[in-house]
Amino acid sequence: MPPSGARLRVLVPVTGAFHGKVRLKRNGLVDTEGVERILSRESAQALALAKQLAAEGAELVVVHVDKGGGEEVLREALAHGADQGVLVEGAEKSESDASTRATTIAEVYKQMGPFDAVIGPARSEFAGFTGTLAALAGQLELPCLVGVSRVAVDGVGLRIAYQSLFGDYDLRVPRPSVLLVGDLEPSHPTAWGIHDAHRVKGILRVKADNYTVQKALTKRQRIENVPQESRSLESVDGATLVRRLRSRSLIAEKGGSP
Amino acid sequence: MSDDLGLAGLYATMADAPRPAANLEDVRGNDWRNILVLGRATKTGVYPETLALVSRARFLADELGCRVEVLLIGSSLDAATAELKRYPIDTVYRVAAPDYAPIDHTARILEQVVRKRKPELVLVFQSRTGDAVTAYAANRLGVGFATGASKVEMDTSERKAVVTHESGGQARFQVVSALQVLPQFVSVQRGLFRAPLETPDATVRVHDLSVEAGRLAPIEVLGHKPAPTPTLETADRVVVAGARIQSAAELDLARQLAQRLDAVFGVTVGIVERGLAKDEGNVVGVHDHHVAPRLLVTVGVRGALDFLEAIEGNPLVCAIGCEATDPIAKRAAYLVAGEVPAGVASVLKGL
Amino acid sequence: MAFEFAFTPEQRLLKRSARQFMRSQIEPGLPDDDWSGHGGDSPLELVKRMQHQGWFGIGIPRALGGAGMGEVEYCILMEEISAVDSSLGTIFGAHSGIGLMPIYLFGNDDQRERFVRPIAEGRHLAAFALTEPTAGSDAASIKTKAVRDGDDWLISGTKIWCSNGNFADTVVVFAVTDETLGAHGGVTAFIVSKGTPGFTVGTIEDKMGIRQSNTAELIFDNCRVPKQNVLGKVGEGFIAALTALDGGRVGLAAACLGACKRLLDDCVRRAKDRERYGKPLGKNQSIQWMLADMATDIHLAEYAVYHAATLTNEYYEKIAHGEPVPRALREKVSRAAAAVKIHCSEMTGRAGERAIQIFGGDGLKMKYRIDRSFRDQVITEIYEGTNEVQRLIIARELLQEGA
Ligand SMILES: Cc1cc2nc3c(=O)[nH]c(=O)nc-3n(C[C@H](O)[C@H](O)[C@H](O)COP(=O)(O)OP(=O)(O)OC[C@H]3O[C@@H](n4cnc5c(N)ncnc54)[C@H](O)[C@@H]3O)c2cc1C
Repeated sequence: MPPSGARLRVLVPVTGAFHGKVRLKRNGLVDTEGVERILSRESAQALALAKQLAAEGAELVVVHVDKGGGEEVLREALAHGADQGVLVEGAEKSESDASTRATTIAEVYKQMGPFDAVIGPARSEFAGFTGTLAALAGQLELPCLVGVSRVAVDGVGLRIAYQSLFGDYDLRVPRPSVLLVGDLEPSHPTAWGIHDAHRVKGILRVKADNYTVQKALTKRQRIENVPQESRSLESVDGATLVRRLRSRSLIAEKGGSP
Repeated sequence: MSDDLGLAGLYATMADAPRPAANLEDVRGNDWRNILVLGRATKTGVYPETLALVSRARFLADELGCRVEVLLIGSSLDAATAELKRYPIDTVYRVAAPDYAPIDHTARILEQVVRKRKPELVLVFQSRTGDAVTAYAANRLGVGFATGASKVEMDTSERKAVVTHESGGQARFQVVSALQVLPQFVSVQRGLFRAPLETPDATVRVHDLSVEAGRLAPIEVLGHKPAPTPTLETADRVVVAGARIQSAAELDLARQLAQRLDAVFGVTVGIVERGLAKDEGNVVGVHDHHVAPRLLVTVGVRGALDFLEAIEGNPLVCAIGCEATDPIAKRAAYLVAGEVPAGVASVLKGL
Repeated sequence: MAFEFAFTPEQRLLKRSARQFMRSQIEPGLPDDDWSGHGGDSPLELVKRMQHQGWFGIGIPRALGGAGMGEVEYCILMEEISAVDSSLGTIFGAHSGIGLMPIYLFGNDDQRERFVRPIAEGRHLAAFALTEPTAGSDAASIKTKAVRDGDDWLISGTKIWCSNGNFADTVVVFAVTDETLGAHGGVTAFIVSKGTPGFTVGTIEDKMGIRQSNTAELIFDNCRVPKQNVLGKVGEGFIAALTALDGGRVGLAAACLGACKRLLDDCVRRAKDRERYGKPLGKNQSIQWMLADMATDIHLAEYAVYHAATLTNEYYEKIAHGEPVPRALREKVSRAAAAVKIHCSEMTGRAGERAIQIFGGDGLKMKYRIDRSFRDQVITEIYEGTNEVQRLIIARELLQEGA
């Protein structure tokens, strides 16, 4: 924890998203050639949450683990008002591996810390980032909350509003915590921010290799591409439809509530 | 392959164990066996996804010849246990925890139970919370995980789990993991399960565990209000009436269907323009409301772009009262073709 | 060598974020019905939100509180704003293109600090008052007078058709200071603040188009303005007006481009959705041709507009930094501005007619906003110099001696 009176610091890991139509190649791989990388909507939501702390004077450090096109993603995050950007380059090895990515971000956290909070997106375009940031919390042994829509400084802790399946809670949580954003209007970059992000603010570039803990790969697991299944349309009668929906737990059982 | 697939863990070693749970029996031997389902309790029972997941687990466990165990964490566990007792589960472990428990708390409980019970497969249903708990716990253990699986199958000859992972309809991957050596954590997409198999003669053992609360202590509740009533934008289930509807009576049928399904009711721009429905702030369209439900039932909707582009996420679409050649059919999984009144009536009868 | 013509990453981000902001934060706040009410009530709350995005000082240096960008970025914003609403485009254009720009380009350091900074920081709005009851196309024949009174000037006369006139904090007013010298030498530009004694707002026009933009009559009755508010040199006001209007026209062309792209999007959607004779409208060749013609117009306009913006940017940077401006550059800018103003306003007119045709009866309904685009387009062939006058500019240059 920083000495009292020091400026609050928040680490905001952000993800990219493809802008425009992404096609599938014949082999089932995503064809991303010529497709622009932009900041994901979820990351803009996380920045909206982090900016609530910035309004109280916090410094925001954004970090992005690059897989190509990363600089633009990071500059976009800076345009939202973040103070500093860290681009982790050469992270191809951690491709598709959330744990390795979490380890990389954890190293940034340790080397550039201390931080009072990690605020990040709850999802990425392929739904995996929850995994990365929760794994980060696991590695750093930090409290972790998902669905946070408001945050403010509260003494030595943070006061947060958080949506769970059981309703909306107003909680006081310790510092530092990992907060994954809930449903929140994404932040919009201003023209001033866009200018500064491209012409004023610097980016700290670090090599992933320096950070990533090299763990032995085993033959225990393998990841394979498989072709898309064509989506089938089933023509049904009413009774069958109801059975299908019940079997998928999409509607209530007879008399029950879903 | 792109980033952020929600997959992780290609490691051989497992992280060192911290404090073990107090009264939980160790599984003897080095083998990892059995399937553990992380159940989620509601105030009155368990989430239907938990039941479906249990049934899937049973099916897989029967193929592997192993047990199905459920870990139930929550504040009102009696109703949940009673409901679970009707299903083919071997053991339910219960841990009391407040409803607002953060991810790390739930994950630490899960971690300790996994260390003790050594399941080879841990199944969680996907939600923001489910994914986070999966990743947190797996990472604490230093083992692999996959979030958002669309299918979980077994290769029994090699005792391998085959987890299919689809990302937004754009790519499809399979993670094949050897079981029995270490656990594999998987969160499974909601709405993709098989029917729950109720077993009248199930004998379920129930164990209450006391697991250290971990980080819960410094968290303080300052306020709480129940979840708000769903809107078109937030509802899990949405019924939308479209311009193929011919009369006020037919529109009323669609409304009834929404009520019976406990769904939020909306209309398309088309039907409003035809003058059959009024814009009561419930129009679904590009310039009106967007929807992102799990289940979308359309009644008499042809599928104009204005409507299709207002559907977010990847809901299961059931189209009632349209033709197989209509654009909506390209998005739908189920089609009740023909006229609206007959279609809706047959569904209502089925309910 | 390739002819490079692409946005930079910064410009791409500005465009994308402006589009997102306009469609998610501004469009839902606009009324479906622009017809009832007075055609001069502007949605100032929405304008405020746009000001807070840093757009209203886009071309002003960072050191003066602006966003430190230029004319290309100004056009990007014009496009995205007008794709959502042409009235907002007019408010933005009258403010940035012709209201603010002359103060920045011709103002001294003190004026930049006093007037440009609050505008660039999103606190003040600007306007441009040239047109008078007896001087429209022939702006050189304005009658509003300014006479010297000690250290001050006293302005008297009436300006009409002043966009943003009712609410602008800062107005650039053109007045005759020497009747004997004509427009070049006899007209001076003054910076007048809202609330200055002797300056009142008269009639607010009720119009058929851009009804949410405010167009006001401004009355000056011995309005006392200190000499520190003379913009540039005495007698050089007309140059300031013409210089600002060049950039204004390019911005207006960008506004038309945005509006036209939106019309095309709406028409494509309609052609796919609407069925007649058992097939979507878009299956008919006559409809396809209309769409293709619109797309062709837009394709050509896009290159021309951003080329003109690039030239204007170079031109304005030289003026702002007090560098000499080659005559060839000034003429190139004027011609490019005139050409894109004509082409873009007229292509949007053609697109509006086609859109109504494609929408059929619904094209006349307010809900689809096709009628609104149609009504909003009309003014684009008139203000910032009518298309006839733009043709005069181009023809004059073609036919001038030695050409
Ligand atoms: C909504 C709106 C907003 C405006 N905003 C502003 C503003 O902010 N500031 C400002 O100063 N002014 C503003 N104007 C004024 C605008 O610039 C003038 O209306 C325009 O310059 C035309 O002048 P006029 O209306 O007097 O038409 P006129 O000059 O009377 O022209 C009438 C017609 O004759 C044609 N014509 C005139 N002379 C010739 C010629 N020599 N050869 C061929 N054809 C000719 C014109 O092209 C036009 O078709 C605004 C106008 C409107 C309608």
